[in-house]
Amino acid sequence: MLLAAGASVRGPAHAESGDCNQDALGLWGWRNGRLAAVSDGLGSRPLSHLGSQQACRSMRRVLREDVPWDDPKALIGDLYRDWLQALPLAPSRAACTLLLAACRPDGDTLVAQLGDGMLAYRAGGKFGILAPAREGFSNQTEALGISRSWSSWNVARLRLSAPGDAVALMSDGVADDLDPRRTDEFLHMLRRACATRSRRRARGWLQRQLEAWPTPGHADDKTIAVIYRR
Amino acid sequence: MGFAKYAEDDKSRYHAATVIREREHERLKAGASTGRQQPAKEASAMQQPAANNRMKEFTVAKPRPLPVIVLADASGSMSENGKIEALNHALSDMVRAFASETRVRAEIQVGLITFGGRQADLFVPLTPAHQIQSIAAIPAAGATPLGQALALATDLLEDHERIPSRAYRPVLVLVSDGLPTDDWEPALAALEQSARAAKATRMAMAIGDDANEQVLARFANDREAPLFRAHQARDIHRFFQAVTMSVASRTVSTNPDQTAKLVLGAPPDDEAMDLDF
Repeated sequence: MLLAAGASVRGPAHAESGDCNQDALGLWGWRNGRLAAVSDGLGSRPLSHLGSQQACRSMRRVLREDVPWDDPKALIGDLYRDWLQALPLAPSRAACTLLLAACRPDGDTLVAQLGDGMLAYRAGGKFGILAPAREGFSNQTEALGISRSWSSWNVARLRLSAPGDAVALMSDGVADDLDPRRTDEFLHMLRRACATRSRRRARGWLQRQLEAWPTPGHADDKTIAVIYRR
Repeated sequence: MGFAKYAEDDKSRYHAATVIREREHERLKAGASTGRQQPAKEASAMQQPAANNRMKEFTVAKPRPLPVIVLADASGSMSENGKIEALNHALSDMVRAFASETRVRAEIQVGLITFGGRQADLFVPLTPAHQIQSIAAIPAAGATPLGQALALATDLLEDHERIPSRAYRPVLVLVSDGLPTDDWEPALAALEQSARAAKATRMAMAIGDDANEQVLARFANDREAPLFRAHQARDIHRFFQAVTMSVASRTVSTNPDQTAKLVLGAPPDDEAMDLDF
């Protein structure tokens, strides 16, 4: 059975300045499958929180239950167009990253990422990270509203078939502070912690973990979504 | 209620009951061994950090670094009119000021590349400012191999081990009083075209009238900090004080990636430093 949990918290920097959480999280059941989206509004853009929320809504609208995903390029194109049309302002003012995962009940999974953050997975018992590590420095990223090139996206098809398989979507507030040598174990711990709790308790647990983030001087908003096979 | 939800709730109830039972058991055992029972409030307070610590073993225990790399001219001409002494003092003051910063959002790291004589050297490797006890005085002698210094800076900025990708945008500060004596243009072009190093914020200070302002102006890329011209020793201090304040303000900013305007303070009224270049 595929289950999902997620949480998003405002970072200390935004709490201090009185700004809202610029990250957005979307989690939906999908005919016994699961849909998850994590979007991070760019701090330098004043209305990026609207962009990140709309990115999650656009994903839900475009990835209907019966949508074929043999052509991910067309699907992502539809998603991007929906985001552009639904935004009530200039896209560059609402620029945001997007990580998404759509899992069918049989474990057939489509994952995609544009910009910062991390999409880590264990599929068929094998661990992987979707996109290569960031080339530049913190907060320099591709995003919806900035990049319109298909080559900026990282897309893959996975199969969550084995017990213990999981996909975790993390905004850069979480991903940047993770020890890169222990990402595999982190995903394992995350899956186990969520699998031993009810959905509501797993969400509460994730929320508390993000609120008590241990890295000194952390500032960013933080969002995690996990889809896992129990 | 769907079956999945029912199953989850059932599991949750069972799991919660088991956890509570074990917790009570542990509490009673601890109470028996110490001869008293811990109050429930105390016990739950003790469990709180453990619950919060699950992420600790998987996360980096250091704040994000904010690297500041100074490229300092150590050629023979810097030994005239007290320029190198003023630079040494200003650098020491800057490091001391950085070390006393509270590191709210970032840990300032300082690196010093000197170029004088035959080659450029990594005089101080990139180190957290609060770990630097003191900076040895830079000796000034020989030619001005700026190209080598730029190449060294590019190598440093491109190194993911020394400057991880979680670091805030680094600051490069170039200080020079003369004409480069090596082939500096390809090195600057390499810096400008590199994937990573090109993203650093670059500031420059020309010392005296003999400095090649064209080179320095081309190096500087920060609109908030146009090329600064130092005509007296006190100007070197003013420039580094402004750099210190600009960088320090980023460490407590809600957006440490945003460069702050370089605000130059009034010249200090100090006769001992009143040397014209």
